Amino acid sequence: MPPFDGGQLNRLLVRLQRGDGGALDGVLAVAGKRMLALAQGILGNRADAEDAVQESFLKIARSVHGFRIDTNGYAWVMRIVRNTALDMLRKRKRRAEENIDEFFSLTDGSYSEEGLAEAVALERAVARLQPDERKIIYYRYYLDFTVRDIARETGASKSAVQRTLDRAEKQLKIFLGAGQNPRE
Amino acid sequence: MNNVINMMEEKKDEQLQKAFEGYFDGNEAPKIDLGRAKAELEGARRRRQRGRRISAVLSACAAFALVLALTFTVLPMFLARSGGDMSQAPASPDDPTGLAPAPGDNGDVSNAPQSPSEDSRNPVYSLFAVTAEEKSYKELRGTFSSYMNDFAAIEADGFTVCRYSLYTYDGVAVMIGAEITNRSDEAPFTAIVYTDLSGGRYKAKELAKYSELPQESGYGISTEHKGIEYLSLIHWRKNGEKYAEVSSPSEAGAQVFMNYFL
Repeated sequence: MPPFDGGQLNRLLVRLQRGDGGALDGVLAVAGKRMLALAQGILGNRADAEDAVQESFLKIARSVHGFRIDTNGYAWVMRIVRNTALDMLRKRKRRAEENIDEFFSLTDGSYSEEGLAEAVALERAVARLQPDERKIIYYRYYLDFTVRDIARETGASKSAVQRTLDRAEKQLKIFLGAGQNPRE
Repeated sequence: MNNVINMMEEKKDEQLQKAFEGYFDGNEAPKIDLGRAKAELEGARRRRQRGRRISAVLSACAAFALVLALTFTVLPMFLARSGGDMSQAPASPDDPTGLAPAPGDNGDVSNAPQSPSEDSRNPVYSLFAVTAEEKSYKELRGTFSSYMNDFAAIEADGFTVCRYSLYTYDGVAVMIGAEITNRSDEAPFTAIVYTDLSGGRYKAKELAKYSELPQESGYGISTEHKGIEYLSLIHWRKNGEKYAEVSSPSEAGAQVFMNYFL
């Protein structure tokens, strides 16, 4: 499978802005799995997550003309999915507010056999992080936010975000590698 | 300095990035019906078109009101003051419309008479206003063979994938758009190429900047290093006017791209 290409997503969004409906199929092919992963993590099950992704595509179609080509298209799409999933969650009143601690649950359901062991290891490694580190990893690697975006979103300073990110990345690599935890 | 900071911000840890990519891609693709979203997109496009038409009608009304105001107030005042009898001045036999610039006038092209077919459409359009319909190479070659000849080398190349769209503006085919992805090891690139089909009669305003590119060996080109990629804008004329935006991690990407066309 070719590596994820963020530029390709931006080009598809430009085609959408020009009214090319076929580009929606492209967005689904390029980012569909990640959109589903994000929604599933928030909503907790695949059926609801697919509804959220479906709804997100409607929102993308409605609002794509407001998308600025010089910005991060992937982050723009993922924000829509995240907000849609959180809205659905609030409507059901199962949880009053976002709880990203329950985010990492992709491998519970219909995850493919291939790469399952690595995926489970990654989930476990993320689960071992401190809550503030986990949150920064979530913004950086799931939502593709820049450090500046994360600082804006969380109200923390850029340097504080960068320090936490560095620490979280270092910890994750240790957990994923030797399986040792220097905190233990 | 800002660029360095931005680059650092954009850079993720490679090992973790790879781990997360594997994690996301192992999930099954969602089963989604895009029919409603496509209908929504079409509805949004129609609403915008309607809005443009309404604003065009309002502009026309405003222009008409201005003409009336000029005709019934300013012009009589001017005639009365000059004491002239301009209504009896004959039109030039060479210019029955009376619109030709006077000697010494710079001849603003916006005053030039237009053919009836051009009256109803603005020759300068926005890429947002076009309708793009995806077409195969074969379909387009059947209708626009001379323009599509330039893509024969791309089509024959095993490293390259190309998707085409036909752009229409108010029902007129104005451009062919080609999205090209080249995955060669040497200098992979992605590109969008716009081929003008109107012989310059219609111009996309977003592409106007291409005419100012520095010239080099028969084509205009400018390359910028943006983040981890080189972004090149290229403009040339061969089988129609062509505008390309090429992204490549290699500085040679734009040249490899041009080798397909020149």
